[in-house]
Amino acid sequence: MRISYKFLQEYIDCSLSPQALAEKLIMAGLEVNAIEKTGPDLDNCLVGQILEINPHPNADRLTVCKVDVGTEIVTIVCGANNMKAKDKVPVALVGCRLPGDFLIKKSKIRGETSQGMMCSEKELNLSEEASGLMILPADAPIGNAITSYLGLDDIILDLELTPNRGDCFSVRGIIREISALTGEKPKEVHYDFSEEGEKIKDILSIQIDSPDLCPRYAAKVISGVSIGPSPLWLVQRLRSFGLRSVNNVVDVTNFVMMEWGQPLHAFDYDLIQGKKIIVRRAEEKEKLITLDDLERILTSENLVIADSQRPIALAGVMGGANTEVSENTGNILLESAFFDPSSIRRTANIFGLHSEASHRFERGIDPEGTIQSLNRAAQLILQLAGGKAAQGIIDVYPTTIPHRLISLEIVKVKKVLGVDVTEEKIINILQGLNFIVQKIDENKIQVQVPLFRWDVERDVDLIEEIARIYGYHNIPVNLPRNSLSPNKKTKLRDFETKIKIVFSGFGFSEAINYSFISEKVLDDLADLDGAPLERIRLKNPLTEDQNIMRTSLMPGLCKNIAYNLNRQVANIHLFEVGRCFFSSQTTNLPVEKMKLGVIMQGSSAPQSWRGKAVPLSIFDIKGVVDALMETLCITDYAILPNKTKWLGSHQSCTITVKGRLAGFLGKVGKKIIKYFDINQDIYALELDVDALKISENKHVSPLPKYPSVVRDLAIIISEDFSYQELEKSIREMDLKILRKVFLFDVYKGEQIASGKKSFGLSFTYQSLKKTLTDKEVNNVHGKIIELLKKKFQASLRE
Amino acid sequence: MLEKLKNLETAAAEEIFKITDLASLEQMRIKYLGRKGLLSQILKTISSLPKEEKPKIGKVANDCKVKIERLWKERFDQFKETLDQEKDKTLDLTLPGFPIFVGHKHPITQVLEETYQIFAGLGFEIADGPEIEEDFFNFEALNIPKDHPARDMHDTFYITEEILLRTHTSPVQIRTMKSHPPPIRIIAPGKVYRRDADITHTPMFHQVEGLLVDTETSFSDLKGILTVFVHQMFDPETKLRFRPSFFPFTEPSAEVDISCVLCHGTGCRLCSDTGWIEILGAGMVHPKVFESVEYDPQKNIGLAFGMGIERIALLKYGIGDIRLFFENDLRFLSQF
Ligand SMILES: [Zn+2]
Repeated sequence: MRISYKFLQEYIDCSLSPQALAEKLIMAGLEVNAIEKTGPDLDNCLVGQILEINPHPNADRLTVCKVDVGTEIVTIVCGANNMKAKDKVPVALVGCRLPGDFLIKKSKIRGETSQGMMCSEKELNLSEEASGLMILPADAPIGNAITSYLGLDDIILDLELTPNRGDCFSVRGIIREISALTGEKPKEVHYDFSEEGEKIKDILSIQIDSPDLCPRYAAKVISGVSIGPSPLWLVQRLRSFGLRSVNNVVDVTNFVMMEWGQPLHAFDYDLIQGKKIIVRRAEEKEKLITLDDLERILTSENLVIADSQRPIALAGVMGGANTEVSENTGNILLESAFFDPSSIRRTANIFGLHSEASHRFERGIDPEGTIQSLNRAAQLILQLAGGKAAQGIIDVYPTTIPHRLISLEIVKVKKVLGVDVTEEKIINILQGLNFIVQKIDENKIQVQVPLFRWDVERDVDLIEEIARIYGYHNIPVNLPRNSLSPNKKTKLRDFETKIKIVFSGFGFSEAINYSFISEKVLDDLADLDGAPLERIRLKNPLTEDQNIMRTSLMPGLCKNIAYNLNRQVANIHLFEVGRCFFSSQTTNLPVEKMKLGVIMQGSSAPQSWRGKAVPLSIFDIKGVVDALMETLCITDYAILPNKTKWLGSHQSCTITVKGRLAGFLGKVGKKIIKYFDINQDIYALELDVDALKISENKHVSPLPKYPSVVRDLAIIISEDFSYQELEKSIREMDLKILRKVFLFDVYKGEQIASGKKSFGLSFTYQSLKKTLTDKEVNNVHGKIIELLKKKFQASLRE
Repeated sequence: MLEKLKNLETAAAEEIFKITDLASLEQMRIKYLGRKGLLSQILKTISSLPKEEKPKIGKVANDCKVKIERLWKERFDQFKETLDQEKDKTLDLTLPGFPIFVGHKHPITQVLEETYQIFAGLGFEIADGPEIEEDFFNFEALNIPKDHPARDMHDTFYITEEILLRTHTSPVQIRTMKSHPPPIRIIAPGKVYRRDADITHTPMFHQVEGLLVDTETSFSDLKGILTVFVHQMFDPETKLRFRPSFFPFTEPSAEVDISCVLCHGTGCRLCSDTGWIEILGAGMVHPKVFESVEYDPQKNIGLAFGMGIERIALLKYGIGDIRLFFENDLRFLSQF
């Protein structure tokens, strides 16, 4: 809602500056988005009167005029020809800067001195009208600054109203607020006009078939109007509201809506069939062409205004083309009604028709303003478009809407706000806001709510009214009395936090990606999305590449790699902790699983002068998993070579924790990296966070007191055996003194036969009970060698 | 014999003292302590001594050996240290250190974790709820019925008619109250979604919701809690401004502004010359919300607040474009 500072002075005496007023409104809950000037600064541009028009001695198309600007008479050379002597025009004198940074200077035009310029509307940036000078009304005071005369020196407060304050969508509504804040009473208004036409009852009847959707409908008829342009003042006022001028009648209905908050509609009376208005639900599939020339197919949910034959308007939302006011219209019917807010909202939503009118009806208007608005419009139409008003008004209002009565305990104000507001102050505030207050007993008042305040339903609503006028800033700052409850931490966040600490410690930076991805990724990489469940699709995605909920963090992380590579960033080590979404047959809502995703590109350690950086391999990401498990004290896990979705490569493993599948790791396959436009090797890991949240009771083993013995062994075995098989077999021997097996070397190549590989293994032996003797160590070590020879046909390497 | 040993010790000590380089020191070691050195020669003669003298002489001989060895070691260490120092002197200490990869938590995470800490200090626990929500929890129970203009405040992503991406963390209030009796003191952090994208909006962002329900609390406490939060998150000099506003699930409702982090209130571009920056919404829990979770609105009173974490991070770190948070550009992430 935009409101002119100058204009509101016509309704209330407001001595506050625009800034101070804005401040007051903001602190009362009416947010002011901006304080704008309406027009350019036009210093030295005055109202002047042309005294003489003389031909220019040296130019046929120019004239030399003598113009009275109040303090002096100036000579101006002019190229326009729409003016005559005695006309009043805007005169830009020397020193005036017109819009477009056009500075007026004293000049000679074809040998004649010119001391200024007479202006067109376009030159003042008022309209596109440039065909001649702007001729001002005869009563324009000579010598007045043009900005103040034309209202260009005005200030507009642009208010952003919250949806509860439908009552402030009008000048009157804002004036009510200013009055409550300043104590100044709004000025009285009277709308006087004579009714010289026929009796309205003889020319119109109104019938409400759906009083639930239309509690009140009133109309007035004016005959013999002449449709034409609106006068400057009206155009300017509409402009201050951000509205465009259409014609005098439509402009009046819009103006009164802005002034009173009551949307009005003007029908061409002659086009109303049967001279009858019926307010009813539309019939199924009934059609109406609205003013925007679109055919609307209606249902019984839509309320329409109909004549005896057909719908003529979508009630409260938009008029029908069949009864539109045009330049040929002579007789008009003015409608002023109160419609059910949620019905209007549904209809406006269904047809996507959000107008100034529907906006107000949806929020609830003042059902007691119906008649006053109608009279105001009639008065202005008679004044601007002529014609005769029919005698009387038809006002169908079968059931008066009752006023809400709320009882308020004075102590509750303190209970909710935490500040003592005296009863007197409370009553003053409420009365200032047009509530009618009655004392019930010592501690209680009864408050009658004005009908325009649809948002005030309960005592807390009254308390808010009291608080906002009392001033939120006057409420003291306190802290709640602590009822010392133990702060039970949520494991989920602790765990998440821990993982984040671990990974940033490992040198990974944290990524956060949108939870929606493109369904196209899944379609194009169909074999990679193994999720058998249905995809969770957004009904109204913002863009097609954000149309389904992710089931893996991989697509987002792959995109991040591409994004960084495109910006010459190398060694991209990222992790993300976030939810993935899976549809569910058993629950109403999809299942949300917290996942940990990791992606790596580049080298395993940063390049330095020590030597060449080692490029990443799958063993780097495997090492990350081992390190993670160690930090989380998880020992019962396994990384097994297996194909998995989301990788599509031969270098892929599944990760199990306590025997249950928890995730995967590996090298990201060619198809995927190509899809994301990545031309480098990347390695990835994804784990279910819940699978990691196993509560293994930590208990600390005593530190060994006796020295350990290390024996190294180099063996050659067939490539068919995996390291894992070998280590598993040794472990299964369950040797009490074997503390650790460590692989320090893997070799394949010239020095050994093809099809074979060599492992360098280091065994650590230690007892908790005593110092081991050589003999004991040799005995166990020998058993291991024997096993390797027997089970793996290993040969010892010298 | 004893004399010989004594003389040997003195001679060795004198010689060691005079030595000036490592090579001579090694020669000296061989001369005295070597397999064929002077000490060995003397020791060889021990066997010819009478039986009863052997232990005594043996002990003296060993002491002598230990003494010479110690003297030699001391001298050797001296040389070694000088040598090491020489080496250190020629090392170019300005060579860059060997780098290690440094990881960074996302700035949003950092602000969130700071928020947890501040509210933990005020006795708030963390609560959680789903990101894909039912209309009931996201709207209806929060006094935002269908066909109400308040729904315009939220541009919602829908999965079906009734299932949507939560537009705020407020549904966690409802879930918590439905599953726990009062008193309640929680914050609910998490991702929320709105159908909106420009320089100041992303379709996904983070919020932290707060809820306190008890038999006694007031708007004045709300001001206190949020003042503590702002002072700890920003700076204790930051001013707060509470102004009336509208949220369907609180009454009275407030919007909270802080004095501009850039100009400190004098007016600049960041604050559109107002000196104030809006950072959160708050209010007293609406009785209709209590009714929807079957709490008695006569007995319970509550306060609630909600804030956008990106907005706080933008202000805290002076970031101009919210989209940076989700591009995951390492050049951006590594600044935190
Ligand atoms: Zn500022």
